[in-house]
Amino acid sequence: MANKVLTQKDVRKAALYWHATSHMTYNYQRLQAGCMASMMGPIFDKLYPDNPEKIKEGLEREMLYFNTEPRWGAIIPGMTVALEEAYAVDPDSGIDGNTITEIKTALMGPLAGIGDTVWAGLMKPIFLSITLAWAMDGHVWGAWAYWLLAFGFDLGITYYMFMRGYKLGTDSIERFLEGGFVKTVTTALGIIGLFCLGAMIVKYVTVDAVLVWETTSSTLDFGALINQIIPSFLPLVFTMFAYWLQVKGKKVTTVLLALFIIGFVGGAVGFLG
Amino acid sequence: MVQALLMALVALLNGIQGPYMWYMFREPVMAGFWVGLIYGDPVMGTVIGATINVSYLGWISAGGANASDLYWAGLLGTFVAIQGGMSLDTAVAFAVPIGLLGNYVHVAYMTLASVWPTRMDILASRGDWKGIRRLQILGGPAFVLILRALPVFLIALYGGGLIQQMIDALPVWAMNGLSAVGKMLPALGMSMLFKFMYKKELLPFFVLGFVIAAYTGLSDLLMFAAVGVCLALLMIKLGFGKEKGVE
Repeated sequence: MANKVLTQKDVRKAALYWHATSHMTYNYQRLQAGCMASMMGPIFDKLYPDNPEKIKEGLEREMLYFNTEPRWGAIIPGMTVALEEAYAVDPDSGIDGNTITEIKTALMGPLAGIGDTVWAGLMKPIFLSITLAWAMDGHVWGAWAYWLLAFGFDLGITYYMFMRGYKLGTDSIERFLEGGFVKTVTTALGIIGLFCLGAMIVKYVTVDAVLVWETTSSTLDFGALINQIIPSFLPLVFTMFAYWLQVKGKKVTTVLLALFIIGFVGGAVGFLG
Repeated sequence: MVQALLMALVALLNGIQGPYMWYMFREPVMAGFWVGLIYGDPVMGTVIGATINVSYLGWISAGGANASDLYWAGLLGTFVAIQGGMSLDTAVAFAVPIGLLGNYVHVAYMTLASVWPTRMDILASRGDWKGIRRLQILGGPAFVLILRALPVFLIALYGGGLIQQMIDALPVWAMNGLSAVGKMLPALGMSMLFKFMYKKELLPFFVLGFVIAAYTGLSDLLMFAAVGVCLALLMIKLGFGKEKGVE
């Protein structure tokens, strides 16, 4: 691509617009398409200064169904900007409207998967697990520390991935997806996440057996007995039970109901507390 | 009245989608802070919000699907807890069902907002991207105003006394039951996270974390995170998880 029409500033503006509004009119019909199209608006104006037909065509193309993870997936809208620019500068470059749509559609699924795993499954829970402990101890700054971490990383990742998508173009994205990088990151975060999760069960799931068996000669405290054999045994058991139900294909709502009933009945009759 | 209006404002910001709102208003710990601030006790609000938040640690929204509604669990959960003067565990037992109710609101929102792309198509065919931009920024929030801010305003205005009466009327065994539920429900958040993170070869790290915390009583998660990072770096350095290549 010898001819660049867009400046760094144009792309940066698009990245920040994507970051702020990708989900603002999120809906079942088209998910993030409205953001994609309106993000491309000013760019189309610049690419086709006196060709309103091409602008309409471009907007209609970008209004097609689009949905990915907004942070790591920001590489796709970044790449879309680069592709639309290449197509506008040289319509015979081999890239046309259909190619752009095909590439977007092919990439949005895999990146949604990677992005959700890394962000929603690993990074955000790790931020929360650290800062919630502070907040629960009555520190308001614990809540704001969470905001700072989550928002800071959200903005940083989105901006970086978007700019990278613009700079690298298509073939590099495939390399990014196939290379060891993703695997290494998910393995590393998985180790940190699961290690912390083990500790979090002990810290946050505080349900315990409170049943005390009294006979004339002695008292048997079941809670103390269980905890002497394996500390935090009940929290582990209930977590694994909830996990097992989900693996069996039960909906989260059903699992919630099951835990609610067990907890309520157990608490009401004095077994759990 | 002023408090109810402020609650409606927080509910609006809590419901609008995007990173500028998600972390500052939607996450229960922050929603709790704002509700606490409105009712004069931001510290209590933060503590309640954080306690509720634990049950939502594994909350993952994929493709707009929503397992259980984070938005209202934190916002209205904290409101109910403050109004009813509840213990923290009881607050969780109330917040999570409120979240389920909020889930229907989320589905309604996603469905109603589906009218906008149809309008955007027409604007696109006219080349009017500024119109699409206006809809993208205002369309979703308009429905949030109706579906989330308005009900919260009414609940804040009329619900406080009712909640107080309801809590006072609860018998002791019911309170014990709800309290146990509150201690139990974080297991749901943990199990969702576990399901998401679980990989057979990573299981020892989970056991290690659990055993250290359970037997030593150490519970500072910053420490666990630091140890976890070191473990991860060492394992990667040793080539762990590499041999199979890409999954």
